[in-house]
Amino acid sequence: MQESTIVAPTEERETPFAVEMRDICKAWPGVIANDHVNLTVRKGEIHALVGENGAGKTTLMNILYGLIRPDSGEIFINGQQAHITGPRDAIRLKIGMVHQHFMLIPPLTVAENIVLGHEPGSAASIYDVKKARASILALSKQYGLPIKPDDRIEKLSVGLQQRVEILKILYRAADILIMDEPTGVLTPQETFELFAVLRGLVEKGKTIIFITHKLREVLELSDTITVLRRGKNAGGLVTKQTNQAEIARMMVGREVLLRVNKTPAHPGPVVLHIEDIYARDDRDLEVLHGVSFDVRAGEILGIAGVEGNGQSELVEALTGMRKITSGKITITQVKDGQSGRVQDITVMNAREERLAGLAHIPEDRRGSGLVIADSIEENMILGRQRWPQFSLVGIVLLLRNIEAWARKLIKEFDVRTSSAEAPARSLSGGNQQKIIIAREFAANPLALIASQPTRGVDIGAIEFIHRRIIEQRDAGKAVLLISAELEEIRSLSDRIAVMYEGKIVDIVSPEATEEQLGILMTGGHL
Amino acid sequence: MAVPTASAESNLTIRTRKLAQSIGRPLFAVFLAMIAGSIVIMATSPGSLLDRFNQTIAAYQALFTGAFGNAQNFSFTLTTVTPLILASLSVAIAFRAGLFNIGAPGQLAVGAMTAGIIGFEASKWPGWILVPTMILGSMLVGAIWGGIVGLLKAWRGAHEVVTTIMLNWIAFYFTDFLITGPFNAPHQANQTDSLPPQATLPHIADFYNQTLGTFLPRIDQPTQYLVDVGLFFALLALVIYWFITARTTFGYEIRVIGQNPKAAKYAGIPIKWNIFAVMAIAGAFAGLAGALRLMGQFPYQLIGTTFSLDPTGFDAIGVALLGQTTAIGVLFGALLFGGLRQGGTIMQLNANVPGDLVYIIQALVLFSIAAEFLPAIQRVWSKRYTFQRRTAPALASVNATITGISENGTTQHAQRGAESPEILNGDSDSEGASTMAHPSSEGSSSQIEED
Ligand SMILES: Nc1ncnc2c1ncn2[C@@H]1O[C@H](COP(=O)(O)OP(=O)(O)OP(=O)(O)O)[C@@H](O)[C@H]1O
Ligand SMILES: [Mg+2]
Repeated sequence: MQESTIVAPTEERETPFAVEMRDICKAWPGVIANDHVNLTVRKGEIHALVGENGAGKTTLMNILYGLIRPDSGEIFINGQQAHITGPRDAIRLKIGMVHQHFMLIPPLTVAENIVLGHEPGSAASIYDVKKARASILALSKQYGLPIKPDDRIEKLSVGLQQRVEILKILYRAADILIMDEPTGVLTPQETFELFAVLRGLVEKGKTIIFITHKLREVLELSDTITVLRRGKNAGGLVTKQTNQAEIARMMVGREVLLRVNKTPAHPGPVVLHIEDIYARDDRDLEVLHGVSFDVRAGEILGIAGVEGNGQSELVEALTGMRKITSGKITITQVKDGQSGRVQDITVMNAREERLAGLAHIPEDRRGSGLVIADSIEENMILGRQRWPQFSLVGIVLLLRNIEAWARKLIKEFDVRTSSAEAPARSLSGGNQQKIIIAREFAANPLALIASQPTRGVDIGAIEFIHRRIIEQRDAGKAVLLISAELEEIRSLSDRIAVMYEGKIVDIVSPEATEEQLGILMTGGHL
Repeated sequence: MAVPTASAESNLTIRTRKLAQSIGRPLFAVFLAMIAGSIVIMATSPGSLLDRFNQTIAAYQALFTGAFGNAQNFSFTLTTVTPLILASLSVAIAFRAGLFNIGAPGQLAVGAMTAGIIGFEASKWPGWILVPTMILGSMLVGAIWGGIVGLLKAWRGAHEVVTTIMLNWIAFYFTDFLITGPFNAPHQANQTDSLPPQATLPHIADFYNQTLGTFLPRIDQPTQYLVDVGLFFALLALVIYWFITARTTFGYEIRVIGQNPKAAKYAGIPIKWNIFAVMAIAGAFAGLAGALRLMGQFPYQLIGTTFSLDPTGFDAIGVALLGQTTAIGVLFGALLFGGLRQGGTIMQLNANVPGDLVYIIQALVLFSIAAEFLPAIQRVWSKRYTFQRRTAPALASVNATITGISENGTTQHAQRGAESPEILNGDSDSEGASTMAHPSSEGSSSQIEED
């Protein structure tokens, strides 16, 4: 791959590359996102684009799709030089993109979303519902992507929404599909289905560029790989001839620990005590039916479960973001291995719970964990703005302290930014996550609730976050870990609670196999 | 592994960019509106092209002189600016919390009415008690009037645009009723008595002559300078507003609420209480505006139907938008809109151009702010520009230095510390690009920029 970018002009080739990007440069204020980047993708292959958070993957793909103009560089599509000045041009060149954050319109139906902008209709341009439905059904059959055209987007699961995004691209007759971290939000089952779909598309002659942070997926799915590091090409690989360790090394520029190193836990007294809680979801249906468990000081309790079995609501109930209908939650101070003051936090709001010693990494970082238009500094005190170190009697902000605090955390947690005053929005996804991790870990809590802490972050950062979580445990904090990644749960937890249909069905040791966990997670018994 | 470089210089550049943006946009909007206004004048005035052009110049000259040209005119302009600043702060602080306060006119009306009632009822009180009571009373009632909106919004979910408009009309009719009914001046139609003399605010010139002027040079003919000491209250309010929004946890919290309510919930910010509080503060600002105008300017009396015709509360929306809800922005916005209003009258008299032109200019200013012309033009311009410019050589040279440094092993991350002007300023369309890349996040908050 790497050498192919240096060789003779494409005109002389027999089969031109589907995509060839040459010497692409793009600078943001203070950051060079793409620095003479080259990318070549053969027709009919699945090409993985990997790299750490902020390596410039999304930027490069946004350039290809015409959302961003490069500062310099050339793009060739099927051997022809292309001048892509906007998504319109990209669509004309049969390029389609599924974004990291979906771009669907929730109240509209599947069919309406798919045909949006290209509605079939008469000359009087009346939207022809029947025609739209028919062509979507035909498409869905042709590519083996079952979907109900009349469902509203807001009612669909994330996996199905993604399917709609793919169909939208196919409806516009795209041949080159860009998928920006498509598996970041999917459950393992949905990921499995997506891979089958993508393989099917390639068989039908499509070309796919696929961004992911999960090396397992790279090896499983792709044919060739381009690795970016800090905005530059770090190398090209052929999937069959490589392994996880090599890709990881190329991405990060050093050896990466793919396994978690941890010593046995030394659990102390119970810190977080959850007793028989019941709660309702947003549609007012009961989702938690009497959940009880304890988390001890110095241990990590993992919660495994298929997504949608009440984990999100459980976290919200514990962190003061959702009212519970009955039950009790307490948090206990621990001193020298002895239990101290017990605080009932059942009816507290999020602010009071933080004061009582709870820290929370939310699953939806852009949705609730950050104010993306605000600066990093401001985000570093979110939820703790009235603490004495940040404000005088909780009223007047102490800007100097806040700035010093932000700088310290940026350094300690390796947040890659040009400035502490930059808006959170200007950071890459993984670095946004680091802001939250830094903020919550550094507050020295008694108990830590981490929900999907490594979603969408690169392997270097995953290693880093995992190490920090274990550090927290070893410092005597009670850690509750919720993750859709069984791998993560199994390697980090000291005990695993399995959640199914709003109940904890069993608590097992981390030695339990994936199969055993799988059985429990789907309602079976061991 | 990495050493992030959050250097002071790049903080400075970010601040400069922010500043340039927050000044650039409104200035550009005004500039555009003036050009469009001149086209209107040229199109509607008689004579040859040169005549028309001269007419335009004359009109703008008259407009400017009328507003700011001499101390007398300027002081007259400032009488409009005082209430406009306060009403704009009312709109601006609500904007910070993501609320659209159309209710300034009504809050202003009840504030003025309250000050009036206290003035009439306690007309025997000495000024040093009466004046503060009137001011505080008007702020309190304004706060209640705004607070009702906050309560309805926070606990009942009623949209603030609807409730403020309704409360405006209630305020207009109720004050009319009081003015023409219980407080109607004997043998006069549709107006109240004048305030007792000790309840009025002195003009700044008089005030100066009586205080500092006793040992410093005195102002000649103080009666020609109309602005009253209410202006000082408005300026003080600006400082208080700046402090609340930039330096307090309350300001921080309402901003979080305005930009991301989910994050506010996550942070445990008392959303309902804050919404109530911010609307109450908004009402207090507007209530004060009403009181100060009543107490500071002739005829020192309340007249029926004036409140529903008074443009101040609506102009305030424009000023808050133009000033991007910052204190300094509101000050300049109020000077501009106040100046246009006063200058317009002079322009009509001296240059024989209809004063309505002022409304056209005001509308165009708002329009070009709302339509975000400047970022759009920047985007197009920079596209053209980058085509010819080719930043590649500049990048390459910086890269060379980066590799140089990292090979020395001093720092691995020189590129983030690299403060090359080419890189920092190299991309003027970053704003536009990010708008396209994150439409959901950008669009919602673009009106309420940070200071
Ligand atoms: N709109 C923007 N304004 C300023 N800087 C930006 C903008 N978008 C991206 N950047 C910067 O450009 C760099 C590359 O970002 P990009 O989003 O391409 O990374 P990525 O490889 O997709 O990372 P991730 O895996 O976290 O999504 C980052 O340092 C980021 O901070
Ligand atoms: Mg990305």
